[in-house]
Amino acid sequence: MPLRVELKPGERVIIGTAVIRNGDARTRFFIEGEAPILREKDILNVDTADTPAKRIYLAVQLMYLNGDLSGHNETYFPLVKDFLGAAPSATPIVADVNNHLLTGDFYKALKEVKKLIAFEEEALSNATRG
Amino acid sequence: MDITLSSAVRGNVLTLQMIADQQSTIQQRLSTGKRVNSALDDPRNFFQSAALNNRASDLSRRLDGMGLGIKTIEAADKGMKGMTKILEAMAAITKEAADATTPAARETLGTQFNALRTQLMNLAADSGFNGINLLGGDNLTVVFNETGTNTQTVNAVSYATDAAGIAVAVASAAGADDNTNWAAATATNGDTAIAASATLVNTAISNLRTQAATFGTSLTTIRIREEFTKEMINTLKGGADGLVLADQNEEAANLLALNTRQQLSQQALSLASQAEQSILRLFG
Repeated sequence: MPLRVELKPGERVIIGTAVIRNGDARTRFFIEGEAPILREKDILNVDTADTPAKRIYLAVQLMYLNGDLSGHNETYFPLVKDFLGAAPSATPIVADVNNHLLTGDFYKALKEVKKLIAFEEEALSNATRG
Repeated sequence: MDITLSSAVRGNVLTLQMIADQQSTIQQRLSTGKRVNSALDDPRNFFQSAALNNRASDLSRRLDGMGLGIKTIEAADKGMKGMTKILEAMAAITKEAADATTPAARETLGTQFNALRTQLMNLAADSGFNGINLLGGDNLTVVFNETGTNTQTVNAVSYATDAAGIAVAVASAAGADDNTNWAAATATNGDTAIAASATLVNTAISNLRTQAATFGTSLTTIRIREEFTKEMINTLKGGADGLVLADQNEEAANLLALNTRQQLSQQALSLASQAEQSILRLFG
């Protein structure tokens, strides 16, 4: 089944190795086949990945876009180890992320990392409150 | 005789008993290095930690399987390297036979050629590991995840029965005269037979190269997964041990400190350079 994508005026989306920028009107289109697809709102870059969990997200995002597990092991695992060293109770989430990565399901892994970002947000909001 | 304890003394005894309890707990924690040792100390963390350790040991078993898979492919690869050498020697023999002028000389070379062909098949038959021979028709299946749902199958070839496409030994008996006999009485008939053998050998060499590349790709995939799984197990174990020490406030403070530290770290730099090389550079 093709994937339906709807873009607002000027919105961008990554499909495969290209960035597609919408024109002035709302656009709806369908994508068939296998290619990494990321909407603008799901994309983090070096400047917006400004917390430990978001850096892990960026690392997984890079693996997803390259469709390749090998290249980023030297960034991904050090980041994950740092994170778990600081917050070991996030291990179950990380274990799920790892499982998706191992089975080559990068998109699901990326979704799972969002839980890690939520975990971090909660922990930090507790810290600033307490 | 009944011994009656005054309330003050009873209080002291109770305190002593409590201290003894605490001491044994502390000693147990010291000896195991974990703050939570049984489900009674902190049930949630204890069970989570136990589950993580179980996952780690499940993965360790998969890791063993991946290791065996890698060894199996390596054995096949080694076999194919040996086969390539033998095939090169066979190619040299065909050249020599083409240059030879007498049927008798060609007959000798034909016998050598056939002997090498047998060696070629024997080598293929001996290229197995742990009961699986990828050159002998045994497919290899490697399981990656704990549940066994994610696998990779490496398809075998049958070089042990058909030596890379050289199924039939060449005829080289002197006397008979047809164009499949190296030692045919008519020189041009012999030339045709030798040329046919040379073509077969060249095809076999290029088949082997293609097959080696296919095995190589599988090997790379499995190796990457193996490395990844090793890291995964370390993460699970480290996390499981840390989990029993987990304290929410401490974790929050740790995360804040980590963020500051990471901003200047090598990882942040290499992450940045990787992003710069990818499509993400367009999202500045």
